[in-house]
This record gives sequence, structure tokens and C-alpha cells, in this order.
Amino acid sequence: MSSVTLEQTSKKFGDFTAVREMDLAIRNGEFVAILGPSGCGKTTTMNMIAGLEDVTSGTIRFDDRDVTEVSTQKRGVGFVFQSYAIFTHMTVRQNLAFGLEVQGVEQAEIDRRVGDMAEFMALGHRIDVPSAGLSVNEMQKLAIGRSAIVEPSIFLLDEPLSNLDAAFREKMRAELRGLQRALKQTMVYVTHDQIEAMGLADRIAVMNHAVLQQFDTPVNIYARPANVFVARFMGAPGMNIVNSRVTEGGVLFGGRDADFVALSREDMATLRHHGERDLLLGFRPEELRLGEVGAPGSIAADVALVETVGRRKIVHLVSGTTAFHGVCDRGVPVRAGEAVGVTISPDKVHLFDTETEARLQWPVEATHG
Amino acid sequence: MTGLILRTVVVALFAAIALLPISWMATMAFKPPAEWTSATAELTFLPKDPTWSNFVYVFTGEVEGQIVSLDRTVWWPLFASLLTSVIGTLIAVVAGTAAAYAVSREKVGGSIGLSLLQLRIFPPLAVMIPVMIMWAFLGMIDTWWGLSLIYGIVTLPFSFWLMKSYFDELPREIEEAAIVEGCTAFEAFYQITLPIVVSAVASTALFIFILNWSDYLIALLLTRKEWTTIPVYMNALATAASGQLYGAKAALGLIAAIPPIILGISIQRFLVQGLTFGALKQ
Repeated sequence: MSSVTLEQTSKKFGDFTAVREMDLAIRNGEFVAILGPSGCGKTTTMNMIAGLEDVTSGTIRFDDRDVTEVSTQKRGVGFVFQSYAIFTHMTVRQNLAFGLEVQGVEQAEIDRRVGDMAEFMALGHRIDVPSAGLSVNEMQKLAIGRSAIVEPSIFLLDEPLSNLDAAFREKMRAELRGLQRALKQTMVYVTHDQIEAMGLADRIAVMNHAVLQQFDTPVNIYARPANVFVARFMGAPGMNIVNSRVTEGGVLFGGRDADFVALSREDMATLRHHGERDLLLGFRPEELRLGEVGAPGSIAADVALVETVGRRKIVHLVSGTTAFHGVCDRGVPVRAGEAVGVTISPDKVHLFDTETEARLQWPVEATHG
Repeated sequence: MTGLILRTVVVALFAAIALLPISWMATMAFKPPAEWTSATAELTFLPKDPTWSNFVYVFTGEVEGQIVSLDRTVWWPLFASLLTSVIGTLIAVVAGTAAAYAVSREKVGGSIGLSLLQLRIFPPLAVMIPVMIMWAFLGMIDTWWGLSLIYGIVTLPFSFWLMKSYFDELPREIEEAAIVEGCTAFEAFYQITLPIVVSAVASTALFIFILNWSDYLIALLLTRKEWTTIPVYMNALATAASGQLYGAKAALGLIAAIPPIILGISIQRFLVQGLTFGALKQ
């Protein structure tokens, strides 16, 4: 087990910057998810930690050891690839023994550890089977087992669940979490699936366009997104972001002159420094309430469309020229074409700067640490 | 059902048409001179009087009933063909595989893949005459190494492109997995990649061996007497007294078909197994 520290780490491919000045400190034994859309630099970050990609600038440390210039072979990391990269010309036993043999471990010791790992991964009865014949489930276990058997200091997983269908993925997610506890490993996990990241990780590093956006616990990422990107990326549907304006009377919702959004006292205090200005108002679809038109403190809106998804309704709302979403229980009687009053609780309101799109409240001091 | 029958009939018909010349050659190899010379009026598919004399003739140079004895038997050309084809195949497969791996993995070499095709873009004669002149200057005409080398060179593009397509298909991750476990890049190639593509190497080698084995033009231009190969030797199987020795040629044709067949059968396991990169769900 080791901690992993990235300091101002960048990676460029020619003119293209894949990762820009990344600072990331992963604690010993922590389960960290690197989350972001395709091409955001998350896999490159992982490859740099593993040493499969050289860094262009910056430093990578495992504990206090600077590994920036250390070759992959000597870093002692375990890597589970998206494709699992099973050596299909070998049996399960040969796959498991491979790393130990490369390291020159004694044969008796290899046999013992391979046996133990096969049992632990519930592959004991399949140990002499050609690995090409395994099911996807077994291949995934074999891939994890093969990485774990050499007792790496850091475990890296590159979207290991993305090949599975939805129902099976949930099962494997639970197993993976159990494994991480059992192996007591520092794990770094790359994914583009926010549900996976939320469910598995101790902390999530959200990336976009080569830049780390926020590194925090799942709860904080959800409750206090550092910027508009994180706010929109987390949650399904993502957070509503609405152009608004601060006036003496309060925050005007959308492009209308009529409706004010109630703010908490802290937020009012924060905004007081800024005077009259534009800002971006954020609120989660599941945190607004639908009520009568004209209810005190409510925003008048029209219901454009209602989608019923399982137990929930996704309500498409329009207020003036501003469109946003609401999510409510299936039982709430709301129909397309109705006029409703939307209430947002003051403590559920997020404020972002129009220019930088950064969060204005409770300034998020550090995105790492 | 009728579709199946129709298909079977059509396939059988095409197979019969395709196999007719070969079976004609096979039966002709066992016919005595009287049955394949134009002197006789009657032609039959099966020999009326089957004999080994054609085989005896090419291997010993003399046989009862042939007045003219051969000054060269087939032994040495057979050896020359085998030796140069095998060495040429080895050169092409080893160099082609190594080059294909480097180009596929490291994206090195720029347009080397296309330049390799240069030898194949021109008509063979346009390439081979200059090569003949070069080989003459280098003293490599009618030598086994001269012929093996050119076989390796002209078949290199095939092995390069075939192997490159296999390597391109094989994800890099599988090697990276080995490297993460502590292998050097070469160990990863040798212990992981090569065993996985071994069937591809085998089918490439068979393909190239057959190309080399059946070459006529190159051997004709680059050998004189000592290292003539089977196809060139076969063409010379004629005498002033007896004209074209069709029976002997047929016997030789049958012999020449044996090595590719043996090779094909011996690596059949790999050919049938094909390429199973089964673990990799894309």
C-alpha cells in the first residue's frame, strides 16, 4: 500500500494537452475514482501513474519515493485493463503465476500463492482451464487476481465494468468494493459512469478537458460542485443552470423581472460584496418543489412535457425563455400544459460566476488534498 | 432443402472443374510414353498400362524404353527448391514479423509499409532484370544464398502486411499488462504477443513458402545450372529425340505438390484454429 501524489503533472501529445498541471494526492488505502467524459484525460492520468506514459512535466510520488523517471516494471503497480488483457494462450494458473515468475519467485511459493488467489477469486475449480474459455465474469476476476497476486502497492483499474451489461455491472460493483476492502489496497479507478464513481469511491476526481475540476467525497461533489461542469455532470438529469441577475431586491430568476429566488442569509452576505451583477443559478431537479401558481416565493412556470421513468417523473418546465427540469414522484399530479409554481429551498441553491463558471458560495478552498 | 441440394451440386461441379487438370496430371504421371505422346490416337483418363517408369526416369535418369538418358536427375533441383524456399521464407517471416511489430506498435518507419510494395508495383520482369544485373556483379548468380536472399526480399511485403494486420488487431493492452507485471518490452513480445500470433505466423509462412516454391521467373533468371529449382528443371525436361517428356513432367508436378501439402497438414492446427483473440471484448 502506498499513497500517490501528482504534482503539477502534465502530459502533451504534440500540441494536444491531455492532462494539464494536475495536482492530486491519493491517500494510503483510499479508493479514488477518476471521473469524466470521454477524452478528458482520465486514462492518460492513469497511464502516467502506471508509467505506461511518460509525463511531459511535473512529478509523481508513491509515498515519498519519486517515481517520475522509474520504469513501469519497477513501479510495482497492478493494472486491470478495460479489456482485461487476459493472456488467452495460457491457463488460469499460468495467468496468475505469470507476474510471480517474471519476478523470479520460488516455485513452491508461486504454487501456494496461485492456489490461494484462485480460491479467493472463486476460480479454484477453473484453475487448469484455458483462460480463453472463461466467462466475462471469470475473466474480470482473473484480471484482478493476476494483478493482486504480486501484491502491488497501488491498484489501477481502467473502466473494468464497462464491458458488462447493466444488471451484471451492479453485482460486480458490489464485489469490487468488497475486494478493495479485503485487499486493503490503494485503488485508482477510471470511469465515465457517475453512478459507479458515487457508489464505489471514497473520493472522486472529476476531470474535463485535461483539467482536474474537483477532488472531493461523493457527497461533497454532489452537494457542493466546484463549478458548472461538475454541477451538470453529476446527477441524472444534471443540475439546472439558469442565467440570473442579482438586484437590490434579491436574485431574479431567468430572464424575467417578476420572480425572485429566496437565498440563505450566508448567500445574501456573499453576494452583497458583488453589488448588482449577472450570475448563474443552479438547483438540482430533484430538489425543487411543484405547487400552485402564485404560491408565496414561487416561480411561475409552464409544464412543457412530462416523462414517467419508473417511479419518477421528469418534468420539463419553461419559465419565460428559461427551460429547466424537475424530478418528482410518480404520484404527483402534473400534466403537460399546466401552469405551476416552482419553489426552491434557499439552502439548495447554488451560485456560479457567469464568466469563470466557478462556485461563488462557501468558496471551495482546495480541489485537492 | 432444394437450395442445399442445388448448392451442393454447384459446388461439386466447380470442384470437379477445378480438380480436372490436377487429376489429369496425376493419372498422366502413371502412363507409359505411348499413352501420352501424340502418336497414339486414343486418349484415356486412366492409364491403360499403369507404370512407375516416369518416376524412375526423373530420379535415376534412365528407364527402360527411353533411349535418351537424362544428364541431371531431379534430386539436386528438389534439394535446391527446398533449401532456397525454406531460407527465403525464414528471411521474409522473421524480418517481416519484426518490421510489422515495430511499425504497428511504435508507429515508426513513416511510409515504409508502402515503400515495401515497390517491388510488387512494377511488372516482375522490370524488377528482376536489374536484380539479375546486380546479382551478377555481386557474384550471386546460381548460388543458393543469392536465390534464397531474393526470395526473402520479394516475399517480405506479404509477410509484413499480413503480420501488421494481425498486430494491429491485437490490443496493446495485453503487452502493457505483461510490462506492468515486470516484463521488459522484449519479454512481453516474446512471451505474450508471439504465442498469441503464432497461428498467424504459421499461415503467413505457408503462404510465403508456396509463393517461393512455385516461383519460375526468378529462378530462371538468377540460376544457370547448379541451383536450378524444380519449375526451371521441369521446363528443361525435353530431349531432341523424344520431344516434351510429358509423363516425366506430370510425375514431377505430382512430386512438387507434396511439400506444400505436407506443410499445410502439419500446421493445419494453427490454420484451423485461426486467430482467437477471444478474451478481448471490444
